[in-house]
Amino acid sequence: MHLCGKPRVGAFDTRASGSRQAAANYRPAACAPQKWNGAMTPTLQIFLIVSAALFCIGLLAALSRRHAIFILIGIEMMLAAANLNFIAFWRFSPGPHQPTGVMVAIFSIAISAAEAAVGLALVIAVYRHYRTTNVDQFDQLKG
Amino acid sequence: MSAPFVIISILTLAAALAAATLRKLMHAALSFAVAFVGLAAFFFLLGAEFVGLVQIFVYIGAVAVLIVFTILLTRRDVEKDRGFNWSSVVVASAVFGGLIWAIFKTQSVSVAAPEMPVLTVKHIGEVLMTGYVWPLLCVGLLLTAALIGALVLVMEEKQ
Repeated sequence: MHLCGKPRVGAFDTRASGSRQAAANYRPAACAPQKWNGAMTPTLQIFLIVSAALFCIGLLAALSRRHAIFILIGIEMMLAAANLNFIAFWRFSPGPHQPTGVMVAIFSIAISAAEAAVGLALVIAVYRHYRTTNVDQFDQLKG
Repeated sequence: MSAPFVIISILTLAAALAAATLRKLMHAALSFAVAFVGLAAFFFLLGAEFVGLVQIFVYIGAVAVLIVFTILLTRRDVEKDRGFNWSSVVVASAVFGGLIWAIFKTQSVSVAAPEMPVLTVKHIGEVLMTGYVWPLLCVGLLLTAALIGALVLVMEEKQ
Protein backbone atom coordinates (compact mmCIF):
# COMPACT_ATOMS: atom_id res chain seq x y z
CA MET A 1 0.00 0.00 0.00
CA HIS A 2 1.40 3.31 -1.03
CA LEU A 3 -0.38 6.09 0.73
CA CYS A 4 1.95 9.09 0.99
CA GLY A 5 2.30 9.79 4.66
CA LYS A 6 4.29 12.96 4.22
CA PRO A 7 2.77 16.34 5.10
CA ARG A 8 1.41 17.48 1.79
CA VAL A 9 -0.60 20.59 2.46
CA GLY A 10 2.23 22.65 3.86
CA ALA A 11 4.60 21.61 1.11
CA PHE A 12 2.17 22.80 -1.51
CA ASP A 13 1.40 26.13 0.12
CA THR A 14 5.00 27.26 0.38
CA ARG A 15 5.37 27.39 -3.38
CA ALA A 16 5.62 30.79 -5.00
CA SER A 17 2.53 31.86 -6.86
CA GLY A 18 4.59 32.36 -10.01
CA SER A 19 5.27 28.67 -10.27
CA ARG A 20 1.59 27.82 -9.94
CA GLN A 21 1.21 27.03 -13.61
CA ALA A 22 4.21 24.74 -13.49
CA ALA A 23 2.78 23.06 -10.43
CA ALA A 24 -0.52 22.54 -12.20
CA ASN A 25 1.16 20.97 -15.21
CA TYR A 26 3.34 18.74 -13.11
CA ARG A 27 1.43 15.56 -12.54
CA PRO A 28 3.40 12.68 -11.06
CA ALA A 29 2.09 9.16 -11.25
CA ALA A 30 1.35 8.94 -7.56
CA CYS A 31 1.24 11.06 -4.45
CA ALA A 32 0.64 14.46 -6.02
CA PRO A 33 0.85 17.03 -3.22
CA GLN A 34 -2.42 18.87 -3.64
CA LYS A 35 -4.87 20.80 -1.58
CA TRP A 36 -8.48 19.89 -1.82
CA ASN A 37 -11.17 21.60 0.23
CA GLY A 38 -8.52 22.44 2.77
CA ALA A 39 -8.04 18.82 3.75
CA MET A 40 -5.59 16.20 2.71
CA THR A 41 -6.78 14.23 -0.27
CA PRO A 42 -7.64 10.58 0.01
CA THR A 43 -6.40 8.75 -3.03
CA LEU A 44 -8.54 6.86 -5.48
CA GLN A 45 -7.41 3.62 -3.89
CA ILE A 46 -9.21 4.35 -0.62
CA PHE A 47 -12.49 5.05 -2.39
CA LEU A 48 -12.15 1.83 -4.33
CA ILE A 49 -11.55 -0.09 -1.10
CA VAL A 50 -14.65 1.42 0.53
CA SER A 51 -16.66 0.63 -2.57
CA ALA A 52 -15.39 -2.96 -2.63
CA ALA A 53 -16.32 -3.34 1.04
CA LEU A 54 -19.82 -1.99 0.37
CA PHE A 55 -20.21 -4.34 -2.60
CA CYS A 56 -19.21 -7.34 -0.52
CA ILE A 57 -21.58 -6.39 2.31
CA GLY A 58 -24.35 -6.21 -0.29
CA LEU A 59 -23.29 -9.59 -1.65
CA LEU A 60 -23.36 -11.01 1.87
CA ALA A 61 -26.88 -9.66 2.41
CA ALA A 62 -28.09 -11.00 -0.93
CA LEU A 63 -26.62 -14.45 -0.36
CA SER A 64 -27.25 -15.09 3.32
CA ARG A 65 -30.73 -13.64 3.84
CA ARG A 66 -33.80 -15.72 3.19
CA HIS A 67 -36.20 -12.79 3.14
CA ALA A 68 -37.00 -11.47 -0.35
CA ILE A 69 -36.95 -7.82 0.72
CA PHE A 70 -33.44 -8.18 2.08
CA ILE A 71 -32.17 -9.80 -1.05
CA LEU A 72 -33.43 -6.66 -2.82
CA ILE A 73 -31.65 -4.47 -0.24
CA GLY A 74 -28.42 -6.35 -0.92
CA ILE A 75 -28.79 -5.82 -4.66
CA GLU A 76 -29.41 -2.11 -4.10
CA MET A 77 -26.25 -1.91 -2.00
CA MET A 78 -24.20 -3.52 -4.75
CA LEU A 79 -25.60 -1.06 -7.29
CA ALA A 80 -24.76 1.82 -4.95
CA ALA A 81 -21.18 0.59 -4.65
CA ALA A 82 -20.96 0.66 -8.44
CA ASN A 83 -22.25 4.26 -8.37
CA LEU A 84 -19.55 5.21 -5.88
CA ASN A 85 -16.97 3.72 -8.24
CA PHE A 86 -18.33 5.72 -11.16
CA ILE A 87 -18.14 8.98 -9.22
CA ALA A 88 -14.68 8.22 -7.82
CA PHE A 89 -13.22 7.34 -11.21
CA TRP A 90 -14.77 10.47 -12.69
CA ARG A 91 -13.33 12.67 -9.94
CA PHE A 92 -9.84 11.22 -10.20
CA SER A 93 -9.74 11.07 -14.01
CA PRO A 94 -7.47 13.53 -15.86
CA GLY A 95 -10.42 15.51 -17.27
CA PRO A 96 -13.12 15.91 -14.63
CA HIS A 97 -14.65 18.96 -16.28
CA GLN A 98 -16.63 16.66 -18.56
CA PRO A 99 -19.37 15.19 -16.34
CA THR A 100 -19.45 11.74 -17.92
CA GLY A 101 -19.26 9.80 -14.67
CA VAL A 102 -21.93 12.00 -13.12
CA MET A 103 -24.27 11.27 -16.02
CA VAL A 104 -23.71 7.54 -15.77
CA ALA A 105 -24.33 7.66 -12.02
CA ILE A 106 -27.59 9.60 -12.46
CA PHE A 107 -28.88 7.13 -15.04
CA SER A 108 -27.79 4.25 -12.85
CA ILE A 109 -29.70 5.68 -9.87
CA ALA A 110 -32.83 6.04 -12.02
CA ILE A 111 -32.57 2.47 -13.29
CA SER A 112 -31.98 1.01 -9.83
CA ALA A 113 -35.00 2.93 -8.52
CA ALA A 114 -37.12 1.36 -11.27
CA GLU A 115 -35.68 -2.04 -10.37
CA ALA A 116 -36.53 -1.56 -6.71
CA ALA A 117 -40.13 -0.58 -7.55
CA VAL A 118 -40.70 -3.61 -9.77
CA GLY A 119 -38.94 -5.92 -7.31
CA LEU A 120 -41.04 -4.79 -4.36
CA ALA A 121 -44.19 -5.12 -6.45
CA LEU A 122 -43.12 -8.69 -7.23
CA VAL A 123 -42.60 -9.34 -3.52
CA ILE A 124 -46.13 -8.16 -2.76
CA ALA A 125 -47.62 -10.17 -5.63
CA VAL A 126 -45.81 -13.31 -4.52
CA TYR A 127 -46.85 -12.71 -0.91
CA ARG A 128 -50.49 -12.76 -2.00
CA HIS A 129 -50.05 -16.24 -3.41
CA TYR A 130 -47.84 -17.90 -0.84
CA ARG A 131 -48.54 -15.81 2.28
CA THR A 132 -44.82 -15.68 2.93
CA THR A 133 -41.79 -13.78 1.74
CA ASN A 134 -39.27 -16.46 2.55
CA VAL A 135 -37.58 -17.39 -0.71
CA ASP A 136 -37.00 -20.97 0.43
CA GLN A 137 -40.72 -21.59 0.24
CA PHE A 138 -41.20 -20.31 -3.33
CA ASP A 139 -40.78 -23.79 -4.71
CA GLN A 140 -43.68 -24.25 -7.10
CA LEU A 141 -41.44 -24.08 -10.15
CA LYS A 142 -38.95 -26.52 -8.73
CA GLY A 143 -38.59 -29.62 -10.88
CA MET B 1 -6.31 10.74 5.37
CA SER B 2 -8.83 13.43 6.11
CA ALA B 3 -11.11 13.21 9.12
CA PRO B 4 -14.44 13.60 7.21
CA PHE B 5 -13.53 10.70 4.97
CA VAL B 6 -12.79 8.42 7.92
CA ILE B 7 -16.00 9.39 9.74
CA ILE B 8 -18.18 8.96 6.65
CA SER B 9 -16.65 5.64 5.68
CA ILE B 10 -17.01 4.20 9.18
CA LEU B 11 -20.65 5.39 9.34
CA THR B 12 -21.49 4.02 5.91
CA LEU B 13 -19.85 0.65 6.33
CA ALA B 14 -21.22 0.14 9.84
CA ALA B 15 -24.76 0.99 8.70
CA ALA B 16 -24.43 -1.29 5.68
CA LEU B 17 -23.18 -4.13 7.86
CA ALA B 18 -26.09 -3.53 10.23
CA ALA B 19 -28.50 -3.64 7.29
CA ALA B 20 -26.99 -6.91 6.17
CA THR B 21 -26.94 -8.61 9.57
CA LEU B 22 -29.67 -7.21 11.85
CA ARG B 23 -32.35 -9.75 12.55
CA LYS B 24 -35.34 -7.45 12.82
CA LEU B 25 -36.56 -6.37 9.43
CA MET B 26 -37.52 -2.80 10.27
CA HIS B 27 -34.22 -2.04 11.98
CA ALA B 28 -32.34 -3.36 8.98
CA ALA B 29 -34.43 -1.20 6.62
CA LEU B 30 -33.71 1.93 8.66
CA SER B 31 -29.98 1.25 8.77
CA PHE B 32 -30.15 0.76 5.00
CA ALA B 33 -31.38 4.37 4.83
CA VAL B 34 -28.50 5.50 7.06
CA ALA B 35 -26.02 3.73 4.80
CA PHE B 36 -27.38 5.60 1.81
CA VAL B 37 -27.08 8.93 3.64
CA GLY B 38 -23.41 8.07 4.14
CA LEU B 39 -23.06 7.26 0.47
CA ALA B 40 -24.58 10.62 -0.44
CA ALA B 41 -22.01 12.22 1.87
CA PHE B 42 -19.31 10.46 -0.15
CA PHE B 43 -20.72 12.02 -3.30
CA PHE B 44 -20.60 15.44 -1.65
CA LEU B 45 -17.01 14.79 -0.63
CA LEU B 46 -16.11 13.91 -4.20
CA GLY B 47 -17.55 17.14 -5.59
CA ALA B 48 -20.67 15.63 -7.17
CA GLU B 49 -23.24 17.51 -5.11
CA PHE B 50 -26.06 16.98 -7.59
CA VAL B 51 -25.64 13.22 -7.52
CA GLY B 52 -25.60 13.30 -3.73
CA LEU B 53 -28.89 15.18 -3.68
CA VAL B 54 -30.41 12.83 -6.24
CA GLN B 55 -29.25 9.91 -4.11
CA ILE B 56 -30.96 11.33 -1.02
CA PHE B 57 -34.18 12.12 -2.89
CA VAL B 58 -34.41 8.80 -4.67
CA TYR B 59 -33.10 6.37 -2.09
CA ILE B 60 -34.17 7.92 1.20
CA GLY B 61 -37.29 9.57 -0.15
CA ALA B 62 -38.56 6.80 -2.39
CA VAL B 63 -36.81 3.46 -2.11
CA ALA B 64 -36.48 3.33 1.69
CA VAL B 65 -40.12 4.37 2.09
CA LEU B 66 -41.15 1.70 -0.43
CA ILE B 67 -39.20 -0.92 1.49
CA VAL B 68 -40.79 0.12 4.78
CA PHE B 69 -44.24 -0.02 3.19
CA THR B 70 -43.55 -3.47 1.79
CA ILE B 71 -42.40 -4.70 5.20
CA LEU B 72 -45.60 -3.35 6.73
CA LEU B 73 -47.76 -4.92 4.02
CA THR B 74 -46.15 -8.34 4.31
CA ARG B 75 -46.03 -8.26 8.05
CA ARG B 76 -47.76 -11.54 8.64
CA ASP B 77 -44.55 -13.52 8.54
CA VAL B 78 -42.41 -11.06 10.35
CA GLU B 79 -40.66 -13.97 12.01
CA LYS B 80 -36.99 -13.39 12.51
CA ASP B 81 -34.66 -14.14 9.70
CA ARG B 82 -32.42 -17.01 10.55
CA GLY B 83 -28.73 -16.31 10.95
CA PHE B 84 -25.94 -16.58 8.46
CA ASN B 85 -25.07 -19.59 6.53
CA TRP B 86 -21.34 -19.64 6.54
CA SER B 87 -20.94 -20.42 2.87
CA SER B 88 -22.21 -16.94 1.96
CA VAL B 89 -19.71 -15.38 4.39
CA VAL B 90 -16.94 -17.37 2.72
CA VAL B 91 -18.06 -16.31 -0.77
CA ALA B 92 -18.35 -12.63 0.20
CA SER B 93 -14.94 -12.54 1.88
CA ALA B 94 -13.37 -14.34 -1.06
CA VAL B 95 -14.79 -11.72 -3.44
CA PHE B 96 -13.59 -8.97 -1.12
CA GLY B 97 -10.10 -10.45 -0.96
CA GLY B 98 -9.94 -10.70 -4.73
CA LEU B 99 -11.06 -7.10 -5.18
CA ILE B 100 -8.57 -5.82 -2.58
CA TRP B 101 -5.79 -7.80 -4.21
CA ALA B 102 -6.65 -6.30 -7.61
CA ILE B 103 -6.81 -2.76 -6.18
CA PHE B 104 -3.42 -3.05 -4.49
CA LYS B 105 -1.92 -4.69 -7.54
CA THR B 106 -2.94 -1.79 -9.81
CA GLN B 107 -0.42 1.01 -9.48
CA SER B 108 -2.35 3.58 -11.51
CA VAL B 109 -5.20 3.90 -8.99
CA SER B 110 -3.05 5.47 -6.27
CA VAL B 111 -3.43 8.96 -7.71
CA ALA B 112 -4.58 12.13 -6.02
CA ALA B 113 -7.46 14.17 -7.39
CA PRO B 114 -6.69 16.80 -10.02
CA GLU B 115 -7.94 20.33 -9.67
CA MET B 116 -11.47 20.68 -10.87
CA PRO B 117 -13.84 23.56 -11.60
CA VAL B 118 -17.10 23.43 -9.66
CA LEU B 119 -19.65 21.28 -11.44
CA THR B 120 -22.83 23.36 -11.56
CA VAL B 121 -26.34 22.07 -12.04
CA LYS B 122 -26.60 24.38 -15.06
CA HIS B 123 -23.74 22.55 -16.75
CA ILE B 124 -25.29 19.17 -15.91
CA GLY B 125 -28.60 20.31 -17.36
CA GLU B 126 -26.97 21.55 -20.54
CA VAL B 127 -25.10 18.28 -21.02
CA LEU B 128 -28.25 16.29 -20.21
CA MET B 129 -30.25 18.18 -22.83
CA THR B 130 -27.62 18.01 -25.60
CA GLY B 131 -25.27 15.05 -25.52
CA TYR B 132 -27.30 12.74 -23.33
CA VAL B 133 -30.79 13.45 -24.62
CA TRP B 134 -31.34 9.95 -26.07
CA PRO B 135 -30.33 8.14 -22.86
CA LEU B 136 -32.57 10.57 -20.98
CA LEU B 137 -35.54 9.68 -23.19
CA CYS B 138 -34.79 5.98 -22.81
CA VAL B 139 -34.70 6.33 -19.02
CA GLY B 140 -38.05 8.13 -19.16
CA LEU B 141 -39.48 5.27 -21.21
CA LEU B 142 -38.01 2.74 -18.77
CA LEU B 143 -39.47 4.53 -15.76
CA THR B 144 -42.90 4.63 -17.39
CA ALA B 145 -42.69 0.94 -18.20
CA ALA B 146 -41.58 0.16 -14.63
CA LEU B 147 -44.47 2.20 -13.22
CA ILE B 148 -47.05 0.43 -15.39
CA GLY B 149 -45.43 -2.95 -14.75
CA ALA B 150 -45.44 -2.48 -10.98
CA LEU B 151 -49.10 -1.42 -11.09
CA VAL B 152 -50.07 -4.45 -13.21
CA LEU B 153 -48.19 -6.78 -10.88
CA VAL B 154 -49.96 -5.66 -7.73
CA MET B 155 -53.43 -5.31 -9.28
CA GLU B 156 -56.14 -7.44 -7.76
CA GLU B 157 -56.55 -10.67 -9.67
CA LYS B 158 -59.98 -11.67 -10.93
CA GLN B 159 -61.31 -14.64 -9.08
